[in-house]
Amino acid sequence: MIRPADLSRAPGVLAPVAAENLPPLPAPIDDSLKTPKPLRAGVDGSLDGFSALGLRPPESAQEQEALVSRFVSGLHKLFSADDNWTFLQQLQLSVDHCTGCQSCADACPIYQESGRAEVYRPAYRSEIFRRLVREYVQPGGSLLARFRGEHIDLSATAVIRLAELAYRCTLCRRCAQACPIGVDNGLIAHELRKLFSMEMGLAPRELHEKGSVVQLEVGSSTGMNPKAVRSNVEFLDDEAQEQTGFSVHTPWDKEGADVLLIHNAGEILSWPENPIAFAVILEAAGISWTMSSDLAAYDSVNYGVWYDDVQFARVAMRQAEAARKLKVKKIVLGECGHGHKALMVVADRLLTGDLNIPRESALVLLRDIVRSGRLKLDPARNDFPVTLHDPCNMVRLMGIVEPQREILRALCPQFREMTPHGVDNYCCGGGSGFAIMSGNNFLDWRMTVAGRRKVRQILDAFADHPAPDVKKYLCAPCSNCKGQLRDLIQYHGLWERSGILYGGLAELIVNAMTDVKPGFIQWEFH
Amino acid sequence: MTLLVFLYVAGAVFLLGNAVRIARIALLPRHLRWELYPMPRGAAARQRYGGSYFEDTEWWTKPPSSSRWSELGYILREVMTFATLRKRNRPLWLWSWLMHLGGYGLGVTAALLAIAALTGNSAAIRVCAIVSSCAGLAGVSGLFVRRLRNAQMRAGTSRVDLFNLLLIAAVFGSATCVHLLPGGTRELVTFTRALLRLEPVPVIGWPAAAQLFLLGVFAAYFPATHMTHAYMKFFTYHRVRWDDSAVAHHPEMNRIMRANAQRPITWAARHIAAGENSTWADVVGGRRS
Repeated sequence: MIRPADLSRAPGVLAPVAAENLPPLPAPIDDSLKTPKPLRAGVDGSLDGFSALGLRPPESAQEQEALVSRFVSGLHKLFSADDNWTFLQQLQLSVDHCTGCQSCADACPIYQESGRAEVYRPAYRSEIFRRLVREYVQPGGSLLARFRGEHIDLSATAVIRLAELAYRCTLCRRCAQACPIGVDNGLIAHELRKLFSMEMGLAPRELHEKGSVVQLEVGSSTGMNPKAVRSNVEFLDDEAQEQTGFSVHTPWDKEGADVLLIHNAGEILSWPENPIAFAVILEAAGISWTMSSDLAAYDSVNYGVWYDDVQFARVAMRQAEAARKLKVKKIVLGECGHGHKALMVVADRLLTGDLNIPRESALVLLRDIVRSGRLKLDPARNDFPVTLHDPCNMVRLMGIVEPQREILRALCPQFREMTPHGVDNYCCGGGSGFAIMSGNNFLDWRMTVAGRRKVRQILDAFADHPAPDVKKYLCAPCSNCKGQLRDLIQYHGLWERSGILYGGLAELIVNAMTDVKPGFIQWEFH
Repeated sequence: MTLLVFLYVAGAVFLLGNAVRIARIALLPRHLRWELYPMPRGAAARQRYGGSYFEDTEWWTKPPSSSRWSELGYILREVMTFATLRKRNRPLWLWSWLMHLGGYGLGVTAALLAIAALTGNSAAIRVCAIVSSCAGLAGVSGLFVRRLRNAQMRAGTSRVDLFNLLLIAAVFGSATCVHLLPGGTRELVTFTRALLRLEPVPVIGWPAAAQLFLLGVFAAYFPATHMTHAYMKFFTYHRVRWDDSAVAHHPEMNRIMRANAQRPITWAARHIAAGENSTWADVVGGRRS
């Protein structure tokens, strides 16, 4: 059994993922772990053979010492009321009160689906963190640590493995839900990521360099600048006309509109049917709406919510400032789970005074529109098996559970739930940024371990129609989830073998609209 | 006399230690939201599936729901039945529940001793003490065995965890002994009277002395352990998990958050761009001091 102190055990891979330990997936999937892509020379995979960060171990003793020293410096700052006022109370409570009952273990899909690999046990990471805090932050710690039998040799190897370990948790917080005391292992993973980013400048490139930095400099994490996004959306307006017969002109920067709609900009590029669907619905329902072409305000993503408080705050402020400038009545977050949580929940207290523009979920707006009768809808147009993937950020972390279900029950005669669902859902395996992290060989890990429980759930939900000739719709009202589900479907061949397509919620509404040409949902995998 | 002084000191350490723990947590800055569902708030139907006010159309125009009774009901259910542990970790539940029940029972025993010391009425002390400590002992034993036999728990068990269980077992064990022995309960009553009324210390036998000593050790040790989760759950639940207070409903938070934004920031990564006297407001807003 791997112990916390083994974190610094060298050389070699501490906890390689063994294919034979992974619980087999149901038919029609007959493979488990494909041979993962080998890591580039020099990239550290010493935790489990995979790499999320692409770190290269420091070579000289001096560099190793500097790495450890910066880590310890960051550890101190996590417990500073000034540097970490944002999450210190939560963190201190979780660090101080775990009794080690392991009630969290069975709640974690990654731990379960890895074959119960010790390093993925939620409390394993937290216990390492706790011991390091006691030894390196608390007075008298180093002496007490040895007395308590809790010493961890803080080598460069240990620091790098811990950095990687912080990215083996999707922050779904099922573990926190399971804890009778209220300890939150997901929070501890989140705080570790902050330490690595905010003190040491270490974060996955997809989240930082190519993510939040690009969003702040260019306007969107996709790299679309304001001119490009307007041009792309204009193209989508034309597509909307062609596909639906409905005339749509997306309003930009319209002052005084009721709604500022902010999509995950990835939708515009990867799933244009979703913003098209929104535009059709809002126009058909006569909603006064607009999008904003201000930097960061046309992209609801806020990757900082996963790894960096300052990047998070910077993006949130920009989004709110754009809304304030336009004097809109409310911001509506499109189908993006973490975008919801970031702006509606975590950033709520950052947005003081007139920056605290009211924020609402698109799921609520869509429900109200469907209820209102302003759209002519025929559920018979959606008469195919539909199941719902519950995005963790919207459901367990925000309590938005029923609006999307009300829509599905009204418009999808063959809607069925996954088991479990709602606030007990399982993460898609792409949470906390994993869905956009495919560098090195991380894709293999998130396909075979992180996403494994979700694959199982999807197949179970459609167990009454397993064959590919019956096309089935996996509704996922969240961009990051869709990215992960797309990759899972592709990796495990679920489109060819089972006829499973994924998509958002808005598309189902438009597909049911009798005022638009039938067949809005095109049964082609992309 | 020594034992009496020790107990006064242990009691003071218990009170002061816990007060310091509570103050340290309570005085930490008001943080960003990090709530989790389900929570016992809002209409009963909504509570059942774990919904929130975010499901309401234009939720900010509606007053926040007050659910003190639901929250109290949840807490009482948890405290008395350990419902979450029973649901999530059934094999552990019985032992943990028995141990805690034993602890509650010894708390009641202490109250009965105090009543007896002051009024002379010592009914039920012996039965309460014996039943509680036997239940507690059974619970601790089960937990101890589980920690050693279950691989998952063993991996996360430290010397301190085992020491804690042994200490608790010693408290329960000594309570069982002293109350089973003839005259043991009476000795505790007279000692409690001396403790409360600052009277001359009576001579007591070693079982009673051992029980009191162990209780004192436990009381003094308690604030330094994670056993403070007993009251810290107020914070983990009310201040974190169930803290869905929006600025729209609580505008007084504006002042608190503006003050937080003026806190100095020293994170060293290049992209933070914190200067020597930078505040959060400087760094987030892009201005430099």
